[in-house]
Amino acid sequence: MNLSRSIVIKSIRYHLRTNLAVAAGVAAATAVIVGALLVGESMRGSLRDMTLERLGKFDQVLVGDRFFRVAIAKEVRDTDGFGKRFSTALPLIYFPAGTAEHPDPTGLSATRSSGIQVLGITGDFWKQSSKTDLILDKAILQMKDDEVILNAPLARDLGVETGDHITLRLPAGDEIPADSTLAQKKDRVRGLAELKVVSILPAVGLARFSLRANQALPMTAFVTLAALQEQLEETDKCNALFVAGVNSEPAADGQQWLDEQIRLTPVDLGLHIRRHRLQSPALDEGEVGGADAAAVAFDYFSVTTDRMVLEDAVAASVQSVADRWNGQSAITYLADSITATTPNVDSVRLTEGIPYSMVTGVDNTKDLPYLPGNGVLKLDEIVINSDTAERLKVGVGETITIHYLEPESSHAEATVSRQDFTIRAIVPLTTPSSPFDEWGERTFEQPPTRFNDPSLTPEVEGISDQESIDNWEAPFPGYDKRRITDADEFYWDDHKTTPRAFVSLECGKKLWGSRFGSVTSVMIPAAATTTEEISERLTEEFHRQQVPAQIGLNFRAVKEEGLAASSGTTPFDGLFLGLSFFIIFAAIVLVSILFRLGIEQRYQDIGLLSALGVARPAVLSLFLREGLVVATLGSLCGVPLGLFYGAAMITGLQTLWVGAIGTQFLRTQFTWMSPTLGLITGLVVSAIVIYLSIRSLKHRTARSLLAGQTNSTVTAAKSGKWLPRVAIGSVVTGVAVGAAGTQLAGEMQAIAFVGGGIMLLTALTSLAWHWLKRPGGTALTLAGLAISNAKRNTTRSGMTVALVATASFLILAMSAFRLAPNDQGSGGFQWLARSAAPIYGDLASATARRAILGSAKMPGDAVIYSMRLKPGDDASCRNLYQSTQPQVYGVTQSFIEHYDDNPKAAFGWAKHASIPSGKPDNPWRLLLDDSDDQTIPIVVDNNTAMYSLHWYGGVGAEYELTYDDGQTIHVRVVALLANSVLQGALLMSDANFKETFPRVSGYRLFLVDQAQNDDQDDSGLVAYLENGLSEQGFDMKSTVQILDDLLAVQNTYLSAFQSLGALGLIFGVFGLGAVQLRNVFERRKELALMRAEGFSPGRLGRLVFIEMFMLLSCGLLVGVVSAMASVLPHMLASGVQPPLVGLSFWLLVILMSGMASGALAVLRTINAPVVAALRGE
Amino acid sequence: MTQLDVAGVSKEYPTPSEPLRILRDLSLSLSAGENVAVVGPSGSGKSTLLHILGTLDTATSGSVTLDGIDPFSLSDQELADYRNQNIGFIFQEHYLLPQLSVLENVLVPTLAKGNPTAEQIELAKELIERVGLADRQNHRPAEISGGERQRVAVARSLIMDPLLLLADEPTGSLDRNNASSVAELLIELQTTDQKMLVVVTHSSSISDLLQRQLLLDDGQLKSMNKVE
Repeated sequence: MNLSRSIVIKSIRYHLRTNLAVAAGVAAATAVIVGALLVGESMRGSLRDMTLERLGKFDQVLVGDRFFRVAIAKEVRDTDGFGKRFSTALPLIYFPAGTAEHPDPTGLSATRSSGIQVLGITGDFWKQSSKTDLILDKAILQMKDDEVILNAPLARDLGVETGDHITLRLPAGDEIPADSTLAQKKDRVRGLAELKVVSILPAVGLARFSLRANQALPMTAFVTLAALQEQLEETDKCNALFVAGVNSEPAADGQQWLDEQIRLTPVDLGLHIRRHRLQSPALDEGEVGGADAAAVAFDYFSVTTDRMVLEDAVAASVQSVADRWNGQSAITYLADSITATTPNVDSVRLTEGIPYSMVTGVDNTKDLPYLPGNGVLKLDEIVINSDTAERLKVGVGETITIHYLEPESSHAEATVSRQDFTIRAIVPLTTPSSPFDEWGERTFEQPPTRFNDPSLTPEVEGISDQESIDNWEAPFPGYDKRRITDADEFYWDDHKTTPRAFVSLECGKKLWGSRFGSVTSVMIPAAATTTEEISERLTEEFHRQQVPAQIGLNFRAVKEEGLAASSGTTPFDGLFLGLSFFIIFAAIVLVSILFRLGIEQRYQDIGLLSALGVARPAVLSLFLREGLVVATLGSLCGVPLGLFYGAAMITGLQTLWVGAIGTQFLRTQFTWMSPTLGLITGLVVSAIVIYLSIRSLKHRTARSLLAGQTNSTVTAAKSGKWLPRVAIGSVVTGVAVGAAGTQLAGEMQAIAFVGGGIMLLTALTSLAWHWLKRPGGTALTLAGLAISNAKRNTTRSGMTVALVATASFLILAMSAFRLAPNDQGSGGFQWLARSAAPIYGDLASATARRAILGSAKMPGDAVIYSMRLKPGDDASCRNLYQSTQPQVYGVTQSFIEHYDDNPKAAFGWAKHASIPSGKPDNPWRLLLDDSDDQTIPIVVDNNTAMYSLHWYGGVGAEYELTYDDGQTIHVRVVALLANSVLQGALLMSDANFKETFPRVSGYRLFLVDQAQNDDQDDSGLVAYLENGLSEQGFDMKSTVQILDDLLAVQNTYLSAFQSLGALGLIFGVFGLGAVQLRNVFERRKELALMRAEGFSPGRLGRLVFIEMFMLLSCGLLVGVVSAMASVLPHMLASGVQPPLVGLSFWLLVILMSGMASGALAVLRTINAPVVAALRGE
Repeated sequence: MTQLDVAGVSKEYPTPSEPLRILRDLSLSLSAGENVAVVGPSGSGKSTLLHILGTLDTATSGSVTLDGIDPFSLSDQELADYRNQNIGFIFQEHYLLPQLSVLENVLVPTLAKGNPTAEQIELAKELIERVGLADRQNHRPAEISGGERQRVAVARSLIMDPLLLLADEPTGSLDRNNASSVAELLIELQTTDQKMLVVVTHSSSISDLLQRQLLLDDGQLKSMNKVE
């Protein structure tokens, strides 16, 4: 016979009602835990599914900022080993930020959508979709060049339907970086007009394609690859390669394999290898004896780029290859003027100088000898050609000045600098007998020299291709035709872009090098090699030196990145466990209360067993086993309930709380993990609670247990003194914390006030408990009797008050953390704008505004500040994916200085590094701190740092980030913004930005202050800017609206917490009703006695009701008073309105629930048979 | 010979004013096969004395030895073992576990050492038969009368073959007929099995059935009639 097992099983059955109540509590706790885990699993699963859906079968992606051969796709496909890892490689043209326009019927205005994706595709693209039903439509598969397919979000935004026509605007490709002084700032946007919308696809499958991990639906337009190639004049070229995997999981070594296999040729990098040869007329006549090398002025290959300057990584590789043939680098730049700085001997000094000339920085070599022997030019020495010497009337030893425009400009204005040189030598320049003709040919009667070489100057559209210097389409500011003389025209006719002067290569790089590069060509003697050999060797060298990766032409494992990011920024299981905390807490407290009730019923059993010599641990073990069986049954029941709860939470996130996740993408999904983990956790937590409930019996004597003495009577004398001390201490601490809060601001203030409120809650709850413990002191009235009844079981009554007080405090106090947009979040700006295409000029500059908008003055004297933008992940709380490559903003000096004089309009700061004394109290200036050259100082919003990037180090912490173009940067946090409109990005100074991301030109983010008159109608300003910059897709949004959207995430979570907390409290209140029912049962004899003595059932019912109502009201009062002490001061200070209606509703529901649950106890009392009760039956 | 020796036992309870003395320098001896009734008015300390003898309470001063062992010098575990093996209790309220059968209730003391052995189960059945409830061994307490429940309590007190039986108002909840039959049964079993028996009672008809009657008055025991 297993007596102990028999006791456990029979006890469970015998005390079934109590055990069922305990099991229900455990089931509730387990259900909430399972549900929260289910939400987390569903979130991760949904994000993962979205990643797989939006990428289809594409594993790896190469997207460049330049165009390369379409043939590379086939080359990659034909590589051995490709088929083991991948199924296909497709060439595409991909633009992440374009603009779409849909004109209204009048044609006078248009609806615009900016920041849209544009993909130039072939029919094979759709075959990589996971949603195969999308590709069945012929219109999709056989789209024509004048047609476009939109996804539904873009169609909705534009307000178009199938059959409508739209225009797409895209940045033109492969141009000189716009921030280069010699680059065209205008006409950098190409338009594809009159595209017919042939299909609008729902945003599923590849119709929601995006390279960025974000649950927000992208707006995307699909056109044919051929259409884009034609419009961009990039025949047989593309700027992206998309490689599809064999199955849905990415190949393990896919990226590495592709990077190792791909071979980008010089053509793919936008390089040109041209032969330049100039020979004397004697050779043309076929002189006997063959070619006379001395009669050849020059014969070499040059390696040049469409971008005017070779990027440093490219230049280094080209030079490395050229070294085998004694090749050399050169930099040729435009001099604004060359003037004599010393009067010449014979005539008046040519003070005007020679305008718009070329100067080359190159070293003296045998192939380009401008000094005898191995002479080396010093940095302040120059060699000029004979024409220049004659024009300026200068000779060797005299000084000339080169005036030039700084190679980088960003304000649509350029800075002129100057450098003086001493003439070291004069080299001969032969004048041709016939100038350049329309085919670019000229004739020499006298042998030309090495210095008759216009090819030293890179081709610049609008300059080098012009017939006349007068016809230049000069991209640089300040071009003045009036400076051009006949002599300049003659020089142009004879020599075109032939350099007038030479400096050392080092000097040239120093003066005219920029972040874009410092070499314009590399020259290789032609006798030594061939074009093909140079190309082959360059291809290999680029691969060996990993040059493509250094210039952003490397593959990204987008699927692997996306799947890694789908773990999410926020652990939703933990979040929902936190949000459901109070339900779990209420359930656990109920389990404890009910289990203890059961134990109290059986004190005498415990006393008997002890008296009979069964050791206390063995006795308690029996009860623990019983509790564990009950908890196990409860947990098992809790699992299916938890699935319902989780599904309900997900429904809430899709509807009422959609503000927290942005879009309705969440789907319920789970594996065995959530139910199992929830079951185990619920069981363990309940087991711990049960164990703690019975542990207190360990030291109770058998005698007291036999006598049925409760803890309250045993411990009342002991604990009477410490409660008032706790209360006093809590009040003092609370006042101190609250007072400290008055000196703080923002969230810190809220935390301080809530902390003070918690102290007040502790004090009031302690006082309430102390009062409950004190016997007597009540009047002999019905209410007084009810109070004295409540005091009989201090633990139960005290826990009731504490439970209700804590719950109501938490629900109300969370309102303190509600956020509302304010000036500190917007920095005093009313608008934040983005452009799809960069704007090449800082609009803060009047010159730039005049050049770009046509007028320096803005409507209403509005002020605008520009910021550069490095595209990346949206690292704000709106993006649920984990951000690893946050976008970066470059903050201009003018923006920084704006806050020197406007401290009141400043952004709010969570924290910042100390500002050096004597400097303006402007934390933005910390971005200019260059004390540490290993790290880049950055500002980031505190929410972005904490919740998106998980940067917990605060101010002073350093981090490393690697971007998809292979670039790694080291940053140091110098300041943290508080709830700002600049969330989601890192901010660095403009100077650091240009140095760190040299390939990013122009500005794409803008803050607009519409100036002083708040009543002023701002529609004029919006129209002015959006229409004036429509080609660049300029889109303005109210900072209040942006902040609302950002803050909605936190506010939504608060609402969810308050709602779930209220549900938990209702649950707890109903459970307490069960406790009250138990109380009534235990006192049935005395209640029956009162009936026998003449109390009416109704009067007894009122007695029981008053007791419950008193405890409930006491708890609510304590909680509400404490919460108000927390919430009101902060809300008055911050101006945030608490959701009084909602909170009042919940409090009323709680009160009504409590009264309803108490009614059960009342009914039990009224209906109990008197005689049976007197007998104790 | 098995002996219960109580020497100079006093019991005081602290109060805010001065200690409340319940027992004063009380002495008692008992040998195997002997029984004694302790009588006295309500609040005289009879149950307190019983609890001290049963090691459920401690004396303020004095000593108690049973079979030469001072139980109050034992550790908690040793004390539990001591009580389990040497002392049998019969309470006024019987304290049967309502969810267990008669047989299981009798076997409850065996739980101190794990599950009951076959011999203990046989012994329990014998004891149930001796108390006249052989046909009730599978019934639960709610299914038998008050007198029968107390008989079960008597049988339970004997399952571990204790040296000493302590009965605290064993017939207090019974009617006169049941009271006398239960008392007679208890005395018969005690005598037959040569146990020591101390009965606390306020009923003279019950106390008259025992060999000695001691009056607990003013904290001290006084013999009522029999010669020591």
